[in-house]
Amino acid sequence: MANVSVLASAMVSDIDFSGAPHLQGGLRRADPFIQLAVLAGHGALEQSGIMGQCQPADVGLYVGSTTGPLQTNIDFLDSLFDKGKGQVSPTLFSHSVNNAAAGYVSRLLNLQGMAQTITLNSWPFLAALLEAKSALATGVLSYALVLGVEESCPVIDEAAARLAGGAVRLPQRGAVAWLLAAGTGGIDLGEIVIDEVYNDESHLLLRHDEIFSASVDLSVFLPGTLAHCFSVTKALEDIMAGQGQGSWQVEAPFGTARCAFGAVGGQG
Amino acid sequence: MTAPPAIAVTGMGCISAAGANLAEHEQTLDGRPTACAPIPDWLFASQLTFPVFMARQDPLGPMARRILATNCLGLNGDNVHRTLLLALEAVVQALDQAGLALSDLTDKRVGFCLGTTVGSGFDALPYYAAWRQGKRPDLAPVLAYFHANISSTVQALLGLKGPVAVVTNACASGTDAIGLAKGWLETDRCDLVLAGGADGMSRIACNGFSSLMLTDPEPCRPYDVSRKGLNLGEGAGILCLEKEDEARGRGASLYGYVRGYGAGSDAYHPTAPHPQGRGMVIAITRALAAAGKTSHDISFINGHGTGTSANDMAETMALAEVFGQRLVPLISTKPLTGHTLGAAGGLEAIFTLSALSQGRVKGSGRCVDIDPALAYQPLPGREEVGLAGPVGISQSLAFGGGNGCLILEAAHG
Repeated sequence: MANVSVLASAMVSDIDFSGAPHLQGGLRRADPFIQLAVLAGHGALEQSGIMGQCQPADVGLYVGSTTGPLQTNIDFLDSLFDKGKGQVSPTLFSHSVNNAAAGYVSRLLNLQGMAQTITLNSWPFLAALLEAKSALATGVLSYALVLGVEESCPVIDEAAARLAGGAVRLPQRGAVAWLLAAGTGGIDLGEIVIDEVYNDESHLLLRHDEIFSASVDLSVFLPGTLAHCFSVTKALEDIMAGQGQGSWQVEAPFGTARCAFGAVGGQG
Repeated sequence: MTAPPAIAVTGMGCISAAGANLAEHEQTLDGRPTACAPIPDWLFASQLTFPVFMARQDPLGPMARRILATNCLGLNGDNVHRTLLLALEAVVQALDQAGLALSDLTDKRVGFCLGTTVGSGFDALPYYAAWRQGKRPDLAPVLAYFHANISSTVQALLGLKGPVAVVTNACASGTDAIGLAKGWLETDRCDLVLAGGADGMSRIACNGFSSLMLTDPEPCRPYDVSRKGLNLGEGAGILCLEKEDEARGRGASLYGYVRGYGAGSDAYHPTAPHPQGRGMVIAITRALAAAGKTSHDISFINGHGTGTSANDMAETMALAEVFGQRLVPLISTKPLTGHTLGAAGGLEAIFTLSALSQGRVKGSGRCVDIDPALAYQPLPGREEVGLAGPVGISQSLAFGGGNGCLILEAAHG
């Protein structure tokens, strides 16, 4: 199994095209879930500098999400109620499918390698990282763009608030992106382990009990499905800046997970 | 670098309009008729008039029903998604055919890598209808949504442990799930994997495909010049995968092998395939390379063959690119099951292995006059041919431009 390293990363929590105005036209009809995914992916690719140096088919795409574009799913239900059966919006339908974001990212960033969207209750970004790492380590791909994307949905936020006895949950949405490469050259990506334990749905809905090893201010994001994406990305960026530890982990009632990092350029 | 272990298929479970188990699916592949009828009232009332392919109303056989009835998770037939019931039934069948009792698996790492499309969506319409009117209904449907993850929940129902993932690559989900599961075994992430796909019929999919004007008002006719679109179907197709040496070590019967997997993206359009099948060419080429095969080793192609004009054109363009003038028997099994979305890749992998095992195949149902514009000619419905070898392809295309291809080999072909 060959080494795999992280060349670049990006975190996005606002839809802001100022750094990528050329993408705005292609995302005119896209929902926030898709827009966040494309912006994060573009950020990591730009930072890595690999585009133009590799074949599009050698770059794979992995997207992890807990619920996918759930608000678009709800918008489609609105369309069904308001317009009637057989008159619903085809655009909403095609964007409500979980891999719609992968389709947009592939098209707008011209990635022609495999595109996988992984849905998992616990830590889907780590699951996507694990699949990408495996494909790179076994020579299936040369590069992989890995995304973690989550979107706020009022139906779920209200349910969470009710379940928590009225506590308000801040709407949250965002995306992270890592650009991985076969071989060395960035931060070595070590072992990734996910041990998901089936648990009461309320833990998955509230996510109050996740404990992260990395010291990072997650007050904007916690509790929620995005927390693990931002937390592990912050841990990576700390290591890139020469400040972090060699591993990251999370514990929760629904399992444990960890991700190990080596040194820059595989020297550690 | 050492060669990866051979990945064997030791069990296959399936349920769809084509049958309630593997034997019935094999009979259907051999000509047994299947029903294609309007959406049944027992599922949901609908004014949509196009026909669909339904599995039986109660998908559960005795063993799956007993598992659901005795679980400690608070799940029952009323609070789980139909997709999950279909998946559970197919998983139980696959384990049974593999000769594995649950008690055999308590110390094993049993992975679940299942694909779905509508199974990952929120379709609790009564809840949402009340919610958007300002009411606050009981939270049960929302909580049920959080245990609708078919891999995690089926694994928990069976009391097993190991890696889980749900692959949500739209219509390629089942194919891609099997491909990823192969990698799980090759990299020793688990001892065996239940891999494939499941999708129940849903209001969202029925209305969505109707809005895209992709549905045929009559039973579908893939590759036929008169084709007008697809028919939706539902079902589940699950393979039990193990490393060959470990399967042989426990005395298991081997039904076939997953020799290779490849995937590629069109990077072209949100819903339409690339006209030249760009991503499909990448997928087939990489799957062949992963299997250590060439196109000359392939004796059978189970195409995606939805019956939409664009799909059949793009798919055959890709096949012409890879296979050139060499005509390999190409069929679509969607006239037997409808388009079962996330389940399609699982069901079609099973049909592919069945045909390869039998060494012969009939042409696509209702394909009478092959569209002369297709770049690669399929086997017409009236014909039956012997297959030249044990290796074949099962392939899928998806919304978003995803394409997946499996190279499968029959154990006794």
